[in-house]
Amino acid sequence: MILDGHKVFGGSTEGEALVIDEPFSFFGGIVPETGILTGGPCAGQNIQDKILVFPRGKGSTLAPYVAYRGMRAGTGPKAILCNEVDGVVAMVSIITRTPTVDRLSPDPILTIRSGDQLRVDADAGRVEITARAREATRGG
Amino acid sequence: MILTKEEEQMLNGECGPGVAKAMDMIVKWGEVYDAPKLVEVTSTHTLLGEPVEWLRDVSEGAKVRTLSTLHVVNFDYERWEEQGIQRSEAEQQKEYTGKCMPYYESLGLIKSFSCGPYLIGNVPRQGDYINWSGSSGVLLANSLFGARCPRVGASGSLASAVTGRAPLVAELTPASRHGKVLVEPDGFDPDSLTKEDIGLYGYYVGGVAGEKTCVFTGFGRRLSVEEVKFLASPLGVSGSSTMLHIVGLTPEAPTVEAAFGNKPPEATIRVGKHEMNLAWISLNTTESRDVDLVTLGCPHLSITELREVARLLEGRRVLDSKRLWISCGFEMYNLARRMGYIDTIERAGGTVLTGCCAGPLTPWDKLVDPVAVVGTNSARAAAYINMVSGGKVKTRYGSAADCIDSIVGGKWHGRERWVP
Repeated sequence: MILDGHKVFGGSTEGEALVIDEPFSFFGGIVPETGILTGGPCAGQNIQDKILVFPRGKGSTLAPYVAYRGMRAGTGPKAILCNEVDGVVAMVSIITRTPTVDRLSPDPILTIRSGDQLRVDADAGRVEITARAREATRGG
Repeated sequence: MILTKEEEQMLNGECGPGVAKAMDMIVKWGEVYDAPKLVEVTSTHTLLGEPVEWLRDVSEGAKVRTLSTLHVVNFDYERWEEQGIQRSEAEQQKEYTGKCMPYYESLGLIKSFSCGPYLIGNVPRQGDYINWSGSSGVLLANSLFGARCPRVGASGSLASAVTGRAPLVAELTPASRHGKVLVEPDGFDPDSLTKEDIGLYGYYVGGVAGEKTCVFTGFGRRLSVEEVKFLASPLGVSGSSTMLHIVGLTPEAPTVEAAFGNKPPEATIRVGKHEMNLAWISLNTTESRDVDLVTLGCPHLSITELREVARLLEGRRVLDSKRLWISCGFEMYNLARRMGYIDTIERAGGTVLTGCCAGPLTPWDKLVDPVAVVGTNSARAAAYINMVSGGKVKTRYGSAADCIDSIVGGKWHGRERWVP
């Protein structure tokens, strides 16, 4: 399955999706030293090397600095997919040079499940679901 | 995106490596939103908290190209012992800031350490492009001064300081600044609202409106600058909008129709006594009448507010078991010292904190003597304190007089107008 969208920051990668189905902030949302999510529907899971999917950003404009610390600690995501990035998430992608795509169709939150294998070509604004998660790992 | 010759030079490294790195961020930010060109910014306001290595890279060979003020630190670096911050926390934070300071100095950032740039000479004109971080200042700059400030990650504001530029993203254009949501009082006269009532009003509306620009109607009088602070600053906590229109006061809102750009509102938020009560409940998170600490100064106090606090404390004394924090910038402190207000506050047992945030950014879990209940007249502070302490520190919300009475008299007796 293919999702088409809009490049925020270029690059290409493959990896496993982690879907947070509510607005997200790196500030307060992760522990940068470990990559572990502090709250929300995926609390306790790790974003390291995942393809992080969330609808939109929220909260403090300090998020890029937290994300940068995560990147330096090697705990950052491989790519970011959003419905719509605000100026804070855009800066997260730019400062950490993380391939990022937004305005995806169909809706990535409804289409992609945690555990799905994705191929992301951010320059082309294209995301491919290459393998579906097994039922047992869904929803987490 | 069209770049001028000078902007091309900045991007390709002719103006030094720091400028090139910052310009690359500005251009990439503009590309995300299909900005047609860059604009010159007249001022920036930047947050502390940069990773030191990134700050070093972006400041290499660079000087700021615009008036660039610095935001607050999270406790008073001179009075931290009196403030009751644990030594290990104080030393760790000061060590980090000490590593950043040489870069701030070489860049030429103004060491203002205030959340109210407009109180210390960073005053934008109507129509100025600016790039501030710090949601309360941004809300005032857009809504009261009519400046054009985007919502962007903090690194974007520093990149604008270094390059003097921002991309002309849609949110900086007049049409996108129009209101989306109409706010109407229901069953009360907005002109009868006290400052803390105005704070409740803004806090409630922000929670419903989210990122959408609100148009506040019904004020028959012109709000003071301090009242606009009370209305606007909670919107950045309960919501994420960067602008509101106050009809008759915001430069772009001479009338309701002008505020909406002659389009119909997408939605209407009616605020009655029930809604004000909901806001009151979210900010009064305890039944306890024993307030351990009062903090007044979110956002930083103006000289008018410092005078009000001094008058409330004249001839009185904060109980030994209670604490009072008053926070402001260095300039207001000096002025208040000259006026005798600081002496009055200190004689009464208050601690005047400068250059720091006393509330939202306070390390509540790193105090020598923990506090259970904080009183404040700031909806923004009350909401943040509950949030950042994970509910461990409870709040009482009322007027400055309610707050001070509770630590002089010993019990909270708020004027609970919104409790049915």
